[in-house]
Amino acid sequence: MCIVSRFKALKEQLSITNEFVFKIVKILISILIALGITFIVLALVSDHPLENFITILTAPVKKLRYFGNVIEMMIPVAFAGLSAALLFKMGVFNLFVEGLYYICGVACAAVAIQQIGGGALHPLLCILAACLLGSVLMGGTGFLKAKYNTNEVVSTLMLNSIVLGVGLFCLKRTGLQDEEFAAIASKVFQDSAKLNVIFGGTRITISFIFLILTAIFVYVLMYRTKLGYSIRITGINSKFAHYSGINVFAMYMIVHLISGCIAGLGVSTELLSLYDRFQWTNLPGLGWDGILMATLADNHPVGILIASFGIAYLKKGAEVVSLTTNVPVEIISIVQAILVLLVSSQRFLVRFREKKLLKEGMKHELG
Amino acid sequence: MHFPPEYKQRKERRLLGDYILELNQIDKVYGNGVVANRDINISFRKGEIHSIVGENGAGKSTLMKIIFGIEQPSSGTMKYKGREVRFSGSQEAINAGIGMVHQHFMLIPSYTVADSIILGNEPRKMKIFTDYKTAVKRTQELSDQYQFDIDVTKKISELSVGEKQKVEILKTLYRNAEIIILDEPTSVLTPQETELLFQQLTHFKETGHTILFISHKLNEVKRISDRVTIMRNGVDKGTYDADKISLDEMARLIVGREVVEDYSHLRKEVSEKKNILEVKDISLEQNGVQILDKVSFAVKSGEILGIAGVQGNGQSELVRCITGLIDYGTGTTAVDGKDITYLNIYDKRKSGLAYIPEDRMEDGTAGAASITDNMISTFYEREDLNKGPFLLLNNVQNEVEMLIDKFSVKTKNAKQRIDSLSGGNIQKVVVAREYRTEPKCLIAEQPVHGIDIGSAEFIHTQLIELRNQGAGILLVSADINEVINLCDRILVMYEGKIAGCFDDPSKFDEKELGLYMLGVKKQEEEQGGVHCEQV
Repeated sequence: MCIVSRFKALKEQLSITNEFVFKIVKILISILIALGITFIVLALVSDHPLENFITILTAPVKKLRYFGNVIEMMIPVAFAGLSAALLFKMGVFNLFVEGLYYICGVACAAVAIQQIGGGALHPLLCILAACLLGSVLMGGTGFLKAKYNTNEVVSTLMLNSIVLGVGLFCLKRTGLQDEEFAAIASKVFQDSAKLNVIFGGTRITISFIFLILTAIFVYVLMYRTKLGYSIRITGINSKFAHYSGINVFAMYMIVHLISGCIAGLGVSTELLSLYDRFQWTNLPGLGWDGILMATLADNHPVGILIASFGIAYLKKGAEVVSLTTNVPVEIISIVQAILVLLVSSQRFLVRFREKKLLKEGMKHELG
Repeated sequence: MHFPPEYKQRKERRLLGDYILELNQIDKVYGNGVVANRDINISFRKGEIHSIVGENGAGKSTLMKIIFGIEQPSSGTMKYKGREVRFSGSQEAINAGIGMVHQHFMLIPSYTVADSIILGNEPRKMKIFTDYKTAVKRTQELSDQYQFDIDVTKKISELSVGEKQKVEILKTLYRNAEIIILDEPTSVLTPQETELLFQQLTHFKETGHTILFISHKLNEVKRISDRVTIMRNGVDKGTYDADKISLDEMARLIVGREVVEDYSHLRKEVSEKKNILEVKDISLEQNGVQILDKVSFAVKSGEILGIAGVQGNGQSELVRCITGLIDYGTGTTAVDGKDITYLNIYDKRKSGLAYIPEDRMEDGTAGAASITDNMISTFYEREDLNKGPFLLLNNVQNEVEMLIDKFSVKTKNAKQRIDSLSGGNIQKVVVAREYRTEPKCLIAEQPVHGIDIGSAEFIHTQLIELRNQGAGILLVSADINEVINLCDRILVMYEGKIAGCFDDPSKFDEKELGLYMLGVKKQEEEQGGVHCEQV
């Protein structure tokens, strides 16, 4: 009883709404359920389920290298998540981030293989190329949406395939390809283009700092600025925004441009940090993961960081387990799938919430 | 045991079911706090045509949904054939013998008539296949039995509107409905089709069916029904025998409200009078229908001009034209002498226009956003709330808290989602926001529609305060008493035109206005129609 009343006092103090508490409770319950089911599956496939389960949860913090891997895995996914979240906040279910990761990667590679002087200039140009292309292409989809109200799900799904084809074409036919390399891949990136490692013992580069800055930028933009306010309002109810005098078309365009830019930033820093050459011949899947993170985090930038860290952490844990046992890495897809299902489901735990609302409604009107 | 004879008689009557359906103290509050029905008590006799009349939003449709099991009442009980029932879905209501014909038909164009009628209740062959032959035979028999004159092998897409309606009615009959609910059935019919429908309804009555007839065409209601229940603002205003209530009386009960407050003592004379809002010759055509026809008027500073009219006579389009939510047909608008016709909404608002929209959930608020976010949407760019590109959240919070306090919005926390408030409180947020832009001209469209009386009075007082400060207010309402109590001048709109103009508050007359609203009377231009356009 004491804890409850204390919690209530704290709630008042921080002026936290019931809505927020409800969200947190929902996420925590979802995580517990997801982990529980993972354990059950482990028990079915593994000889030492408990041991493996503990390894999954603890392995990444046992070695610095492992922890470094977690951060490396998290960075591109979180960037994609931030890019997607901006659009989802606008109520646009645009899936183009996946395709952008590919085509902007090609653009980045095209600059990275050129010989340009040293210093910060070369990586900067690579990143700029990717961001610019990202903005332009995403802006295109935004224009179609705002002007002609196209169905963004269908059009961006198709665009993903199209840009993959265009990207492959550019890779093979415009002199980017290294003919001597066994597989289809670009020429080797110049050393001057690569980003420097900032934490010894890991491969974490400055891209991590970029990520944090981007997340802060998105947060401040969305919740602290005039522009962000009008973007949010437009996303929630564009009719209301229009009625209030907000230029809805401009809001759509701005958000798409920023989102494309973030996608370009995400893929270029990823390539310049971890790769020697561009050798994706298929869509990398990082965009899809990012979209999942955005959904998990309800499009909140901080939530996206946490979610992509958490999933990367579990993935690394599962990877370690799979090295020594017959438990596959894919076990972590179960957690991911269940989490997304529960968190994004509108009806999960909703009765509990509706009852509260109804009670308040009756109190005001009839009482 | 020995019972006195009259007791026995009474008991017998009850068993026979004098009333087929009884509603007792039905309340309906929606999840977002909107009260749709309040304390409804109606009893329906077996074999009668019982009409339910009222304005849009008076709660008729919700009540029908409750009877048909689509919605569940928040409290109250329903007795069907003497037994208490609670339908958790429309299927249960159908099984019990209640059928509903919706205003918008629920038919599949590529199906045949027979298919449509049996859908969901098909005669079976070997338990899995639909026995189409039997279906055709049965449905044709049914159609002939009630003299519907329909070829059941025709496709739905080949039918006229009137015939489609017949199919819907047949659907209910096929499922042995004893109560048939007709939601505004005549609104889509030609006069001839209506005539036919009425003949059939009378026939149903003779075969023992009970008809619930929803309409707001009073002439029809009086002609066809045995009894009439009038609804207003979610409350039933009594049930009357159709031959004992006059049309005037019905109209008064439908549009009137209990005399709210007399606001005349709050009114102050505003000395300087000039035209704040000038509207000239606005016409609008949609899908070939002339919705507005050369509407012109002016609102002066320090006055409330009312536009009265039954909903659907062009008022809402007029307002949407002025505020820029829909594109102009033709005509011009000026605020304080400045032409705003072709400005975008942002610039219109900058010129001093504010607007309380009719649909507060659709246009007036962003439901999933917080109260704060909803409160500042029209003035968040004001200097003291910003520094460079950043919002000064502390100043915003202070501002919002001040407004919540001044407009007594009942909430614990400004971060709460606005759709968790009650209708009245949501509307107070809307009014506060528009008030705070310090408008020269405020357009208030149905500002107290569907909200509780306390909030309504509060909002009215605020409107008058704004008027006393010298703003011009255009009040659009379907509620005669609201207009009479608040306005300095009144225009009545009927079928896209200004049908009447009343200049003297002391001579406002509810009955007279009602006649203009219902199109019975009309001022011709030479009698004074022109007169309202000038200052």
